Amino acid sequence: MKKNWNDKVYGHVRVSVAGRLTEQFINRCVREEITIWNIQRIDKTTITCCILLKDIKKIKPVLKATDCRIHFIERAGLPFLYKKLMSRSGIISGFILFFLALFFLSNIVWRIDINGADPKLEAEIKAILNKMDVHVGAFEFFLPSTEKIESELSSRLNKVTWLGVSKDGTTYHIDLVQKELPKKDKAPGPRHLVATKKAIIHKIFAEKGQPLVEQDQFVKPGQILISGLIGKESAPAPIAAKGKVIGETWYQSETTIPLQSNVKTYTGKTYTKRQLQLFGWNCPLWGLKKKPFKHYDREVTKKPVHFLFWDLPIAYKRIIYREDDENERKLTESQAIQEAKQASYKKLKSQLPLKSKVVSQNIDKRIIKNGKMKLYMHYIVYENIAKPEAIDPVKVKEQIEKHKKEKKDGG
Amino acid sequence: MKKWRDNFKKWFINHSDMPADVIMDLPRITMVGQLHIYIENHKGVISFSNEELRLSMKQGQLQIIGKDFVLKAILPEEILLEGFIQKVQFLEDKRELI
Repeated sequence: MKKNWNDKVYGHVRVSVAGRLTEQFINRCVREEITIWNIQRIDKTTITCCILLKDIKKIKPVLKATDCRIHFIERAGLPFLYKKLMSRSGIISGFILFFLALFFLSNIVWRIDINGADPKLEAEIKAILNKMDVHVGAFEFFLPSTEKIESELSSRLNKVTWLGVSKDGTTYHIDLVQKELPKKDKAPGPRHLVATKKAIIHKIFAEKGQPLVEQDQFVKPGQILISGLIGKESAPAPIAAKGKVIGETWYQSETTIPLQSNVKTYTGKTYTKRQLQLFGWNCPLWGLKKKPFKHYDREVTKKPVHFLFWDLPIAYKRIIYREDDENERKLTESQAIQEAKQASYKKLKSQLPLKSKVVSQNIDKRIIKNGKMKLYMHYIVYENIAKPEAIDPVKVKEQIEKHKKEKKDGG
Repeated sequence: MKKWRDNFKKWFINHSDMPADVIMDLPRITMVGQLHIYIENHKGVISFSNEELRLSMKQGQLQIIGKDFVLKAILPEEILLEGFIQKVQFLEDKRELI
């Protein structure tokens, strides 16, 4: 006989049956398919037995037929337990309240860790976070995503080289690397200033040192512009040359621009869908259209719900559809030239030192081929071409000696 | 006619490997020590008390005598009795059959 759990789940009762024909009662029960077990004799006219709760209704005609009386002794199983619990509303409401509180507290920010910032910066970060409502005790559901916090923080802080925001359960981690301000240069050792590239000298200011080139002179890279050796040729004193040498330099560029291109533009119309995700199934709350626009971009924000350490399979989802138009853009030749010019100018500017000046730009050549325009440009730029180069004391000594020798020979 | 059929059944049992209780509708009784007795093919309870269980059979009755009997389960054809079993006995008296 298998022990089945039916009686535990559905509930059963223990009854005593009194009457003259108790054996007949048992036989009848079996015939009517009433589940009956644990039958015990109490005295000549009474037996006790267990009966499934769902069979209780069927027992009345059997009792009548065998002239027996029934008396309930014990109730057992889930339905009775449930009934008992229900009558104690305090326990139930306590349970519900406990889980609600646990659920609520699981979705709250408990800590914000900031690693790698000095106290001042930390306070600053906390202030910015506070403005975004990210603080200890905030309900996580309404907070922006970590990516948003990250971009907001890194755009507001300029003392930071790198910044990462991550979330670990109820804790936000903000790791950052602070910019180290460069220490002031030590007094530089003896040096020359030499040319960095081919150029024609436009202007030369020598603060310290001996200028060796003149205006409008052509220089090659590596050529000494301002010498750090001053004084007599026979006994030169090495110093740190300082100054600015503006040279005229030349650049050539090649830019390609398509005359026809497809451009996506947003029309400004948006459509927002709100959904509740349950076990991977999306239950729409707001916005029922399947495809609101013909052409669109989708932006999905998902807010998962937590319980203790787990992500529940429930999430709130917001999908924003932005309608866009795809337009074909045709450029006339002059427009294309304009654009190509701008693009190549930008590219050039990014390569040049900070205080450079583009003096003139000329179009060398332009070719239109396969719907694309190739533009060859020529630029003249004024830029600082000076670069420090340390003076090797050994070389200087050699030079002096050589000089002396020459003098002797001459003398 | 009936006798002939019974004879045939006996012959069939002897000459095939079929169990007798299947063909002859006989009770099959299984005991676990003196603790449990499991009876199949019974035809109803005649009397039940702490010391005695009497079952009706196709032919005659089955009487079980012992102490502290509890009918653990009862189904149309099966019965499981628990207790301290001392005696199992077939009674041939047909008059007591109900």
